[in-house]
Amino acid sequence: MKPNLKYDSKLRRNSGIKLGWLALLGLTASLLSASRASAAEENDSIFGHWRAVAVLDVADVAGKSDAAARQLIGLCLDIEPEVLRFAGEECTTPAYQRTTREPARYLREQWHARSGKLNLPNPVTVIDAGCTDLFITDQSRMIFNWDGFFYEARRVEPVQCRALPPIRR
Amino acid sequence: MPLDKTGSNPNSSMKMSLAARSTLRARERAEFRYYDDMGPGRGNCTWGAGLLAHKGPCTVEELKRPVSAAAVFAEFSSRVSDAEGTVRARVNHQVLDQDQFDGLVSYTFNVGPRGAAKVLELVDKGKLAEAAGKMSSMTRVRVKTKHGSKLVIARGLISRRAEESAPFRK
Repeated sequence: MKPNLKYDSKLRRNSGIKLGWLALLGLTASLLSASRASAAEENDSIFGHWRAVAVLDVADVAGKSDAAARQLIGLCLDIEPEVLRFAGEECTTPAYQRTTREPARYLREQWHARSGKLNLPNPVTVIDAGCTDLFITDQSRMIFNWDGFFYEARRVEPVQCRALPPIRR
Repeated sequence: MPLDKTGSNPNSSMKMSLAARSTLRARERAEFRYYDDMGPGRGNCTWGAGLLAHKGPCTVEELKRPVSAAAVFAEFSSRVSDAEGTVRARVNHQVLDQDQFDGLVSYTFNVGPRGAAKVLELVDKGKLAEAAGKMSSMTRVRVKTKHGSKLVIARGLISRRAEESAPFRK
């Protein structure tokens, strides 16, 4: 029997296109997965316990007095993949998306705040934690905002956080 | 209003109402000049309602130069638009009514898109009473004193926050 060459080649061409699409989908999926894994790996460096050690400055509008803000010094900021906790409050499902920003402009436009007293590097890595931003200065130091106040935080071991007294409300 | 479970942003087409926009315009003190944000000769050169001109203090020339009403109005419009965009982007699960949207835009305009982040997150999670409480607490501003500056409660912000948060206390 004479083979239907026209049909055969059309079939092969269609299979080729399908395989091409499958390969492209596979490549996209693996790239997405690699980028997610790389973002997660990058954020591994911030997960853990940090302690507020100083109030550096305050935005134009704040939610508490200077004295009340200072009372939070010594409390731990716990950063986990699914939640961020500080002073008895929780921010859930933070994206922890990283961007690089020019600090003076970013603080003025996004936080209505000055950058002068924060001593941030320029550019600075900003991590969007949903309810606040984390400004990374190095592996063991960051700055974050809570109710308008900018706190300096230092990385600590979990045992150092458990030793703290309960949060005063 | 309930949480939206369809997966689409229920607030994607919302805009600030004209009435709320004119109230906001009347409320915001516009500075028709350049000034240093940490006091004379300190901080960064700023103009209008806190818009950064450049890093470092203003030059003598800038301090003398007035800012036109048209530039201040353009800045106001741009910041309202930014605040609307922030509210739409950050509150994408909780269905907002017009009064709630207006309240959040006014609040975001005042404290900044990231300064409003905690309230916007609470609203998006449907924790409206908590969000209203948090909004009401943001009433302290810095004033200059003989020895530097201190935070004081601004009367104007108490009534403003009461209006902005009222739609979340219904």
